[in-house]
Amino acid sequence: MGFILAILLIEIMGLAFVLLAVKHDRYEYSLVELFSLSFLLGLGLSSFQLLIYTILGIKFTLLNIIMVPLVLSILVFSRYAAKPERVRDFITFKGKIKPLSGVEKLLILGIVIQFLWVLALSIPVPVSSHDAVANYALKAKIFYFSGGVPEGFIGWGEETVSHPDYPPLLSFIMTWIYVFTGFNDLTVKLVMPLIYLFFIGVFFSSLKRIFTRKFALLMTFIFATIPQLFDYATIMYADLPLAALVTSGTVYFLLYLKERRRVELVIASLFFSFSLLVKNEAVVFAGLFLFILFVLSLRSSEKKESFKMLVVTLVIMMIIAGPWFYLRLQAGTINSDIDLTGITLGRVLQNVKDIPVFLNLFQQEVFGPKKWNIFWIIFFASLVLRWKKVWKGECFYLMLFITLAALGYFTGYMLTTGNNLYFYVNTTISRFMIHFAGLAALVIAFLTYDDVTDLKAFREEA
Amino acid sequence: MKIFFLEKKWVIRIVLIVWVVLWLIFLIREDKDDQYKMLGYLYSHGYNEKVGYIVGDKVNDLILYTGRDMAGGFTYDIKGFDKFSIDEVRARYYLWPYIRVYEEPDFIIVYGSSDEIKGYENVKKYPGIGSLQGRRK
Repeated sequence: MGFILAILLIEIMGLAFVLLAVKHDRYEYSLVELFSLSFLLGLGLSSFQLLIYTILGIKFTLLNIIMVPLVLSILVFSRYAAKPERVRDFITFKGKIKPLSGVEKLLILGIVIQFLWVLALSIPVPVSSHDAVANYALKAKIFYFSGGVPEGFIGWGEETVSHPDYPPLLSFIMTWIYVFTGFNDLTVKLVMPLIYLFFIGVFFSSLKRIFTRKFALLMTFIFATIPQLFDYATIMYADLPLAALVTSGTVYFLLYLKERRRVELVIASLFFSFSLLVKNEAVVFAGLFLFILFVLSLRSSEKKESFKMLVVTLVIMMIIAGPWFYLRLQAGTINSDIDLTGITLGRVLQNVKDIPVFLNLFQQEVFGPKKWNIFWIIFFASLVLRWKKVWKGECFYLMLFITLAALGYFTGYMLTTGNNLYFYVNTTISRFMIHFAGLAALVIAFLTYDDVTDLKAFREEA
Repeated sequence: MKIFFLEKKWVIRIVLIVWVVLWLIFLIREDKDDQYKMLGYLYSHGYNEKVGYIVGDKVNDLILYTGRDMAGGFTYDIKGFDKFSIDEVRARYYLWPYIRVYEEPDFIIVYGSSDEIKGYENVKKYPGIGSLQGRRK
């Protein structure tokens, strides 16, 4: 019951944002999008709440935590109570829903089976995987039993807790749930299947805006059944939440580029801002998002509007992520994997010499069906076979984003100093590729849409 | 249109069939960790047994015993595991609110040995598992 209430309040946080802020633009969303989008935004908003509590020294008590969602609920309620006719606006989609075809039913069945399987693997296993107990879950346990983030926590030694300076979103979400359930590291794990579920919900609903429902379902089925993705929905690692936020941010950014609706850029900005609270690697994606937006503003024919939106984006990112960087700066933390004083020409050359090691591990990921099925093979084959489409339309921005982000990760590997390159690549590459999987799936969708919908089974009847 | 020697529609069909077959194989196959046996056990046992099964009996016993016997202190160090190994970080997780520190811990937990460490003396010995050592007064 406590778990359901905790999740419900996370949902309410996001739902309140969508209902209070998004609706003004007459943004048309389906129920799947409304609830999925709200949950992912709610994850970020509830973590942001705890981050602000940390800075203000407010304890993580039940009363303090429910205060914000309660106020938001009252605001939403009063909005609809004042004008009951607005309740009809709750579901903005006014069209007729087409009945599902046989293929669509099969695809949905596949996704449901996959989700149930993820649940079955998650339910009986307590938090136990390495980074979970070393980092996220231990932090959540500390925060819960301390009633907040202890004084000076970010500067604690590695022997006490791994990477105390790592972004706190996942630990905060776990703490949020503990406040309602009591310490229960069995139940708390169920948040991961929910993140997975709502991630694919956003993935599907955004694809449906661009492509046909049948094709969106096919791509969602393929994406949801990538072994590496659903495996990470059963353990408490931050890679799946990061992938969810970065992919959602990118897809709303693409929708903004297509439709030029401000609200989509605001949602994208929120997702990229929240991603900075999940993992350090998000700096690459959030930085690229800002860079591409800046270049687009320079090239835009409506410069005033474009720069206004750029400023709005910057303000959102500073409000959301600023407090976290402020906390880190205050603690004066250093990255144990990339020590700036340890970056010498000799060290970088050593890493460069080890590039074949990196390439070998990378090809094992691409061609290894155990973790990725044939996902990366499809991705690279699509790039080769549909190379004329690769740098056109929305695909251009996606490819630019993926290429520059991959270069960013590669540079990060080249600048590692704490251990040898093999160690870093071997322990991280399969997780890091999850961060890119959603973006790669979008590229596959853009490149193969015409070919797949040529098939009768995937053609949408009018 | 042909891709190599196959019609495009056949290539797409083959790709989708391969995807579904591989998905089902990797979804239901027994992995190296004997996952069905593990799931069967975990579904039919309580929390402590689940933790014991996941962590392993010896490490679990060490955590249980030392957690019970560290009265009068707040900090500990742990030896006998590889640095930041899964066993070490699990012990650290389960032993909280005792705080693991390197410098001048109140206790040292030694996995697999009861040989006294300089400046510390055995508080408890756990035969076949290890020992808990407290700082000499």
